[in-house]
Amino acid sequence: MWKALGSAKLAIVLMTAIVLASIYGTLCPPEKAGEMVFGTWWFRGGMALLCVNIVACTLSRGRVSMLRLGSFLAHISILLILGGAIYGGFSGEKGTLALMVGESSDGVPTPDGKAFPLGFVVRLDHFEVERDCTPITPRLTVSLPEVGEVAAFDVKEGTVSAVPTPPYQFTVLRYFPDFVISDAGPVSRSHYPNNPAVELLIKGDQGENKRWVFAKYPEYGESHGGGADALAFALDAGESGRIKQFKSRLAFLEGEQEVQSSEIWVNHPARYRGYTFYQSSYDQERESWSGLQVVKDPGVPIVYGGFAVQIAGVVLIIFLNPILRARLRAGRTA
Amino acid sequence: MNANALNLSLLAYFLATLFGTFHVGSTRRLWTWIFLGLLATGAVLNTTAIGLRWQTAGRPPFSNMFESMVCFAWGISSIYLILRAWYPSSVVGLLSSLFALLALAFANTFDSTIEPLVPALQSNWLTIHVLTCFVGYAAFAVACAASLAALVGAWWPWLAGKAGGLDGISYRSIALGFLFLDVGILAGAVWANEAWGTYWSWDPKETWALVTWLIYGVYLHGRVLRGWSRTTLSWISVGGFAAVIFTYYGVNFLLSGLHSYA
Repeated sequence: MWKALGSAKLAIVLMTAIVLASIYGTLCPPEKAGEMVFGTWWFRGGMALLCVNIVACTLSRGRVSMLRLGSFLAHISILLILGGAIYGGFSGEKGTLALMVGESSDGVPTPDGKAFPLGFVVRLDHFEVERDCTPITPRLTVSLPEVGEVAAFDVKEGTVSAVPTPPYQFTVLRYFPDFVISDAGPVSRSHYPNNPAVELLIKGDQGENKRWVFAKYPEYGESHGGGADALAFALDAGESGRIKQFKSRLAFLEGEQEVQSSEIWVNHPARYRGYTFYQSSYDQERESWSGLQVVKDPGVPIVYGGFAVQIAGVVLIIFLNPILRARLRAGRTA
Repeated sequence: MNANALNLSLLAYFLATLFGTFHVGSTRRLWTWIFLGLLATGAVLNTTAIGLRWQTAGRPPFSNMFESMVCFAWGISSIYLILRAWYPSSVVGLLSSLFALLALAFANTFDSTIEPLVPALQSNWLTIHVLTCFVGYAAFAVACAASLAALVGAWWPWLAGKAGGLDGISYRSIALGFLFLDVGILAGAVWANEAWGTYWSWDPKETWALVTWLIYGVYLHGRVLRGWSRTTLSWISVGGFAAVIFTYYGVNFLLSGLHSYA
């Protein structure tokens, strides 16, 4: 029984079965692959049986010689990796947090609708989406039906541009490259032209009025304007460019006191009291919130240890064993 | 400059494949030297093209199908030239040269525009993960060439005579590829943990890389412990390389997942 459990034949059968099951798993809908294959009792049972096979095989071979060291390490590493994964799965925590700037939280919601407490408070102090773009001076074009373009000028606060016939005067009051409405009124969320908007003061025959012109919503001004309804505006502030990186600045608080401040971005997480905070997503429509993955996985050091042992084992098998075998053969011949 | 180096490399691989045919069909050493000279020239030009693109882009050139295909061609020619020192098989040389030619020709069907890296790829792990995986894939390509030659040679004894230690080439290439794929998968796992907080997600690309690793694991166990026949091992090697191609190419277009930008 023990011999059969530790046989190479069983190892090959199990590896083949795991290959076939894994292929089936990749053909399932991604959101159901876990419950249909990778999280099922039979798939985990197959992995557990492979571990038993490795243990039985290792024990049945007795003393670990130099020639067998590589094979021993390569196989033991699989037990370390799976053991670390199981330990992390049972004792770790994982969830996602969506915070707006200024918001804080002392707990993290999990995918199953529950939440786990952090034991401290995390606050989002700043969030920014960085883009690859060449800044240009925004330019406003004014036109009249049947006349065409009557004025074009750079948008700088305080700029005054006049049109003689019919007589109009435009004054640039405010410009926001990334317009949003906050509690304090209109503000620019970033210096990238994501939602360029300019506020104009228009003076004409029928008096004066203020008007907002949006680069992305040119029709807005026509329905909300005052006496200069015939005028059409086009604001060109350049392209916002592709996303280069998105970054959050987090503050970690114990009670009321801030004890650590860290900036995180993709591939650059922050660690605090056993938890790791990853920049995982953000509100792509309005860029209003930052998505954080919060993970505590005490199994990771064991898993990484397994990785190192596995590489060492395979290196020994491939590079050291042929030299040792050649020496053994030479010794026998002599 | 980069395009010139790449086109000249393609030409060198084409000529190497052409002269490789004469090399297989003749016993004259002249053909051997011409073939090796052309293949080595192709590899050097391929390396130059990768280096120039790296310099121009200011980042490792391993982020899309075009760049990875160029890297794949470089790996195939380089691995064969290294292994040739121990296993001078003309048939495997011809097939390796053909694979490198096809990989580079196929690379030219993809968009070669240099784009900035998306946030997820902005990591030092990119170079380690992709380079090790592609050296592994290239070693498996050379092993597949040896296995195909062995399978054809079983029916055609003349070819078997030209093959020269096919079993040794297959085994050495697969052992080398297994090590590099192993390092590539583990480096990818560490990277994923740094980027997303999870080292394994059963993403289709990850799973197919594991499938490939297991297939070659079966090959190594079957050869070392079970003493399987050369024909059986050759079929597993060819099947393993089919899994490599699906992991690399098929998954990107047929299955969606975390590697959908690759």
